[in-house]
Amino acid sequence: MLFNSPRFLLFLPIVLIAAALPPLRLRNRFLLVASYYFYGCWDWRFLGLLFLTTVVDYNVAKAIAATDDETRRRRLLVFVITVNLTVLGFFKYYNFFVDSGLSVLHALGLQAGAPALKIILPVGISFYTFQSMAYSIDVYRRQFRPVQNFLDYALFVAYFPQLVAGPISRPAHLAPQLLAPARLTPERINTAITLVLIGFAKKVLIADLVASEVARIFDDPAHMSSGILLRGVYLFAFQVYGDFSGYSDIARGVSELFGVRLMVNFNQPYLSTSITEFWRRWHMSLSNWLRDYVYIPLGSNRHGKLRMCGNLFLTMLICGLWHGANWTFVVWGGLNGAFLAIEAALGVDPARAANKRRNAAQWAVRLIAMVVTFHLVTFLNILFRSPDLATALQYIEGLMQLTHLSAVGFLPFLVGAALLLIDVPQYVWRDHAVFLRVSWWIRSPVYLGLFLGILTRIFYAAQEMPFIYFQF
Amino acid sequence: MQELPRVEAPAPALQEGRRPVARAAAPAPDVPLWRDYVAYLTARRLLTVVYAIVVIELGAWIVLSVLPAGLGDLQNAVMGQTRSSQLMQGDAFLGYHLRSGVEMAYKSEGRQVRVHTTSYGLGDIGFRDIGMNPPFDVVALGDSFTYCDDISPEGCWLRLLGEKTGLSVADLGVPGYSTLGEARMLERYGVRLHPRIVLVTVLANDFRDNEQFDQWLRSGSDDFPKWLGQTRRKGAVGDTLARHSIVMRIFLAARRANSRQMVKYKDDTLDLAFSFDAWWIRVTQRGEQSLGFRLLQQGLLAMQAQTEQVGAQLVVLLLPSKEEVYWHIARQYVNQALDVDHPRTVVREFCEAKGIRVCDLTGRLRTEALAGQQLYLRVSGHWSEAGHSVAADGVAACLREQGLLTAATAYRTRADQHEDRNDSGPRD
Repeated sequence: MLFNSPRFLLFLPIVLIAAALPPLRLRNRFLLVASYYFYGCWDWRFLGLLFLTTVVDYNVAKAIAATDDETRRRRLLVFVITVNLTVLGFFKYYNFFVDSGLSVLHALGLQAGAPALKIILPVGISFYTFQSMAYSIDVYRRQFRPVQNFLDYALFVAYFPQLVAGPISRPAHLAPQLLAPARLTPERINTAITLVLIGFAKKVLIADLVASEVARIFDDPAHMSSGILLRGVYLFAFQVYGDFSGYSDIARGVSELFGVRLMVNFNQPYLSTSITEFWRRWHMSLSNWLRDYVYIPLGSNRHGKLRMCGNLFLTMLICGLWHGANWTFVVWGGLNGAFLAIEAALGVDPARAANKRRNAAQWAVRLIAMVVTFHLVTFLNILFRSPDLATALQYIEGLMQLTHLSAVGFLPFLVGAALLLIDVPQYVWRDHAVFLRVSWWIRSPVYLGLFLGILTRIFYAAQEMPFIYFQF
Repeated sequence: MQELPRVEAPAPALQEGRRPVARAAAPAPDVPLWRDYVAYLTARRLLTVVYAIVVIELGAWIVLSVLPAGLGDLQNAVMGQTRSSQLMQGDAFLGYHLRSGVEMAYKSEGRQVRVHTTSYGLGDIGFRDIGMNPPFDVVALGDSFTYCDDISPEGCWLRLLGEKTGLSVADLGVPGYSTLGEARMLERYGVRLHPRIVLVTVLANDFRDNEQFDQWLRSGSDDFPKWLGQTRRKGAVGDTLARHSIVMRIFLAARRANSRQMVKYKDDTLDLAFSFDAWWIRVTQRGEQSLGFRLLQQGLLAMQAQTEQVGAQLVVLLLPSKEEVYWHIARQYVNQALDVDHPRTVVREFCEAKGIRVCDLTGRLRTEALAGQQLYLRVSGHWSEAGHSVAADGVAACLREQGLLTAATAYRTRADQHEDRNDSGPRD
């Protein structure tokens, strides 16, 4: 079920009302059923896979916690990670690895064959597998005691607001909240409404509006002028941001209505002044996950600068592969890793820079850095959006010809301005619900207008536009 | 389970040492959520919602009122209902009819359209005044194509037909009418104008409109628009909102736009939007099996009987839609293999079997379309000025071929008409 579908707009009030009536334990059981229904609406056959992951992680984590024998604990951890990665690898990467392996063998002059399977990628598998793995690893590290009740754990894995596209929650963050949600104050409800409206506005009023134009340009880059290709690059940057951050905002807002606060997943990433800062602001739950479960175990910055750069590069390669079974993602991740490594080697530290007081000239430099970073990220996204490397190269070649640049038009600027209208106040006030500071007599009609606009788009759109990150 | 601290959004970093900062949250008592929701719904918040609705309604009304000409389509889509309620009124026999003495002007696809209605002395009813006066040689019945929607009188094909042939034509067309409604219009008003020729336009949408009219007849309602509004909008509340709320109208306009599956086509000479309604596809595939077709037959037979009774000739004009005329372009947007001529074929076969004269304008319109003529408006399904002109030529040629033109003018020459005005014009 898509957030931006009429079905969800019916589902949500029903679940909210039904979940509001019983006491907590029953509420959680009901939320579990609702979450499985939510997932089953996409394809009920994959409920079994979700259940399998849940059963394995729950029981193995329990077994890990039950023993002090380090060898056994480690074996159990290896087992559970293997199971998770095997499931993920089979459904997401089987054909990719088989095809790539066969290509290598053919290049070496060896004839080999392997069955090509028509495997459907279960929606959200990368998200819930990572969340589930984090639970087992945290229990192994003794950073988290296992959840005692299986159904509570099942809700932690399947909690519908964040099930299919994150944020990838940590056990220590989400599980305690599910077991003891906070009371809903009026401020929290206002925040939830604000987040849901902003999220839907980003998705259905901005991202979906440019989706067909982006598809048209990226589907046939060979026949486009440089101006049109540039238009496509900018529009995709805004589409993917509006789409994914919109989803995250809706997820956070909806979850807030159940008294559960999800992690912030996007923090105005296009206002970053370096690639390092960008990755601290873009898909933060994945960045944090990779930091804690890949980068740090690899040795992080503990073994000198060269090793640190290597670790950053490798982590981002994995990040690229996480996004999809395609060489475009691997190269995209690798290039991001290379930029991160270069910045780390140069000592770029966004955290230190963030707290500095600045004069006008320094602000101007910062603004230039933002523009440069935005363009770096945006142009790397050509790899992210293209179906294969050959098309991506074709796209880049077309751009380099610099023909008919005026064809870029006003649309990218309009769409960018609409997103900035949301991001800049959030950035300046460091508050995602900053619009609650606006006086009620301005805010309430604007909110209602947004709500009606969103409803119109959802109910009367020619087709439901799935979220881009569902494919991951 | 361990009581662990709740974590606020952590500052992310792909570097070691930046762990999430934990912040303890107060434990929440096990209180059902509904209490918090109820506590949220204060009278002040509800009043805020009412205030927001008023502001949005007023804002939408002001914005629509001052829209520039280029956005007139939007204004049209939203305000069209106001216009139709100004123009039409419910009628227990006809479903609805035009009001008499209406004067209005509005923009349609960037062009100014003027509408004036007159009663021709037939009582509390209006007809589109296309600038022709009684006595009439021809009475034209039909829906919006006959009414000449989206065009001023001087461009209307009926007026052009009159100018080309010397016939005086009364336009009894009403937007949205069905064949059954047209038969009633002829029975009650058309025959009182003493025409020698009765033209009835038939399009594929008549198949659907007849079914709606039949349902209305069975409903016992005495006001077709009200009945239709309540049926479409699932009740009186939705209908009231549609009548009085600008926001609701925006919703409905969006729904209409969406349900029409519109695709746009543009080349050096043509700029057209095609819509492939589900009912049109159904009619194209198996229209002859539909209730609408049986009702259409009933309507035509009733009109044939009435015209024979008053010694007039009934001529059915088969009009293709924009998609049917430009099918050489539009077909690429439709997956199914459709025989778009099918509805007209079955109507022609029926008419020929019953001895009703038929003029099919499809061939003439298609010839001009293939030559790159823009015969229809860009978004609306109605004819452009060029389309009206081609249609007028086509009807004149067909009437001439059928020998009706000569007979009609011979019977009622201009000089006769002038004389007749003094003694045989219609009276209320």
